[in-house]
Amino acid sequence: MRIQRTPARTSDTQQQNLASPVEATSWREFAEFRQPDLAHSLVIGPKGSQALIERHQGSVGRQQSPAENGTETVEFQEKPSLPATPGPPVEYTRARFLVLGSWEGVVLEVTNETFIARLTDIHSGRPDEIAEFHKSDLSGSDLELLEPEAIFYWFVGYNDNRSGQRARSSILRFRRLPAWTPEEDEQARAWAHEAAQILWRK
Amino acid sequence: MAKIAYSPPEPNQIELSLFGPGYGECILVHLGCQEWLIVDSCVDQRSKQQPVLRYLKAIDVDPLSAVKLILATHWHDDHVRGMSQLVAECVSAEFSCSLALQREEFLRLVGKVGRQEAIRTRGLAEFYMVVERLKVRALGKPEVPPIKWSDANKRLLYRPGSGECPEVVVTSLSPSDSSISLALQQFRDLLPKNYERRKSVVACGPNHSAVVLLVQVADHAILLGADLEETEHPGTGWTVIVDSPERPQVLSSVFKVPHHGSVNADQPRVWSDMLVENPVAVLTPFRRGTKLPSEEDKARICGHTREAYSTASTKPLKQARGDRVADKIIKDTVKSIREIEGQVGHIRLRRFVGEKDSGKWDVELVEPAQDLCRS
Amino acid sequence: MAEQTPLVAGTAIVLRGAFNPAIFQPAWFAVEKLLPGEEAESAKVEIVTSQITSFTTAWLTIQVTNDRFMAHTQLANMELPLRDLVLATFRLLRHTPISVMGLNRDAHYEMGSAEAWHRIGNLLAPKERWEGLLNQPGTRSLTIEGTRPDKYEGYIRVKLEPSNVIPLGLFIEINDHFQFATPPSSPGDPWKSDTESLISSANMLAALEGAWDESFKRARSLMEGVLKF
Repeated sequence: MRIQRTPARTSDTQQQNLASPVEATSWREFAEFRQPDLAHSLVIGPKGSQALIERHQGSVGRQQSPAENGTETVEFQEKPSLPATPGPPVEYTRARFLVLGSWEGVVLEVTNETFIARLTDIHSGRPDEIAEFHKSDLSGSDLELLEPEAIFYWFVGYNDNRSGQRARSSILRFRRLPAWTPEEDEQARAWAHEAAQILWRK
Repeated sequence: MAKIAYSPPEPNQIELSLFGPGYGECILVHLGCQEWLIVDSCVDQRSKQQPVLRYLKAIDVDPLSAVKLILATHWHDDHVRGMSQLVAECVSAEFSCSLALQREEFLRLVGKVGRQEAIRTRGLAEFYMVVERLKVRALGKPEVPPIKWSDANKRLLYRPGSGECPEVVVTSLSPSDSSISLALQQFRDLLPKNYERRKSVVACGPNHSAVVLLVQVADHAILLGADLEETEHPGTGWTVIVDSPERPQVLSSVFKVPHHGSVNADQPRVWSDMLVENPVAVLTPFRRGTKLPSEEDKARICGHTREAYSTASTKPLKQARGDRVADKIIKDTVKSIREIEGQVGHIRLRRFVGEKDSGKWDVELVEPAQDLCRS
Repeated sequence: MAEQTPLVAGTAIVLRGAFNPAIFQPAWFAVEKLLPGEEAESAKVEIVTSQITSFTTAWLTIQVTNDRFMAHTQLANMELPLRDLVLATFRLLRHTPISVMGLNRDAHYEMGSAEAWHRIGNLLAPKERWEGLLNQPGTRSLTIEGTRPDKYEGYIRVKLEPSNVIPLGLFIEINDHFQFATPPSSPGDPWKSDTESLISSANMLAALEGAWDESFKRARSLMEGVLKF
């Protein structure tokens, strides 16, 4: 199927902000952020940004001017500054994944060549299944996450690439879940304490 | 296989019903006079219903008023799935569980992991919901203790005999003090540490918190073995129960074989010292990963009794997949795949007490339940 | 008859709060193991500054300014990993004050015929009422807002427009808006206290985890309902 982009018009509301900028969470309205007039636009590739990350960690919640953020000593490439009101943030492509089946899996056992997992159907409510997968089907970084009790998603379906070509596809991706926080530990203690107060009456 | 009659038992008739798919179990006991006990909980994955509630409604018993005690023998998900629904529906029932679960070590595990839907630790998630329901109940009725804690040789329920209604004594035989200590250490080990990556929590090792139950109705006794395993730790497992001078010194004629018949849970002195000769043995299989009971387990159990039954087979279910494109992609991707649980089987034992006692238990099987020694 | 499977669709999580865009680079996500290393290395970085960051990977678009964070995917199978990414990011950055969250789905549907394409517009904003007032009136955009059916503050908005991607297509956007806290009256003003900001991000995380399934069931059912108009 051809996908045709009609040229942007001044009244094209898919590119205009209708809601109050203070409150809007529609991502299309988000596109209408105002870009400050920047003397430099910094484009830092993934490998060159470690120093920048270290300087910025711990400073969330405070605005920093370019002079304060300590980026002067990081390598960067200058690019021309962007227009003040950029167009839609996302360019639609023909890429899509037509999901025919989706599961969440918990690894039960890892062998030399395979791993065994319990699968729970995410959408259709089919009974749980147990399956054996090939380790060679995992990407390098997913292989690092493979261990008993690790959780993953598994999707099967049709993968349409950007050119519109379709292929049957099976995608397994380990969940990158947030680490446990001290606050959650505190909340658990508080809950346990309250439960004990109520339930320990004899 | 004959169909069972869906009618309630007589007031002077004991019933034990064991429900089990390939993973999970639930036990229902009629204590006479339309008073019932539920031990553990499971959900039929195909229909999403609770087999025990479905059965009670089918035999015209109102779970709201008839169930007097619900006991969770331990917290593993194959024994507690759907438990919060039972607690919610059976409002006349007291709730009991292992004394080991009273401790902060377990509650912290529930409070931390159980409320995290994302990581699918169902046993703890179910316990979280149970505790929340019990808190609401406790706040509404402060005069009623919300939990009866089970440990070694603790009487949980007593009903004196009266007219047609037989005397009932329900006693927990475990966990022992040593078992509780070991269980608490297990909970401490399972508790995720700060900054650790989040993943599911899977119980491993012997189940030290399990509650073994002895149900006495008139002159008959039923021994429910939960998942208690024999261990090398002194003061734990089955040996300490068999040797206890404080336990009721009765012989049971029905035995719910512990831990799906595994050799880890076998203690020959249970058969010789706690059971009658040729008792009726019932069990649920375990089809997830290791298959239990194994052929050796079956041979061992059938060596102790000629009457042994299982709620389902241990044979892996055939992969129920068709010709859909998704099925073809799945077949091309995985080395193997099969459903775990399958249909829920039902074993029903009934026996009159008093004058109408025929001297044996009437056994009825609902497919896929089967005779363990002849399959 | 409208095609029930959208030709193009997207899912976005939009947050309003106080952010440092320079943090949200592919390398940071890789170092914190929130994205696979190979994905981060092949990411297309548009810009990274202290005011704005924007990059894309094979399945993900991230755009961050000082007061907005957006994560978007066009792939249906990556909706749950998208949620996991935002959850993991803001558990790590748990002191980030976040006042509102939008869980958004949008889709472009082929209507199948000009008649079907006109029908919805005519039904919801009858053209004949505008004839005589305007030459050749046509519906450009229609937004309907409803209250939330759950315990959260906020609203649900449905926007319908002719698609600018598919000829004779219908664009539907569902904006599921959650309000957690009142942001400072002027951008750049400090938040009142650290506790308040902590509470705000905790509420967002709880809502993202707890309300996700319902939100997308609702979005699916809203889209199906609109297509049946």
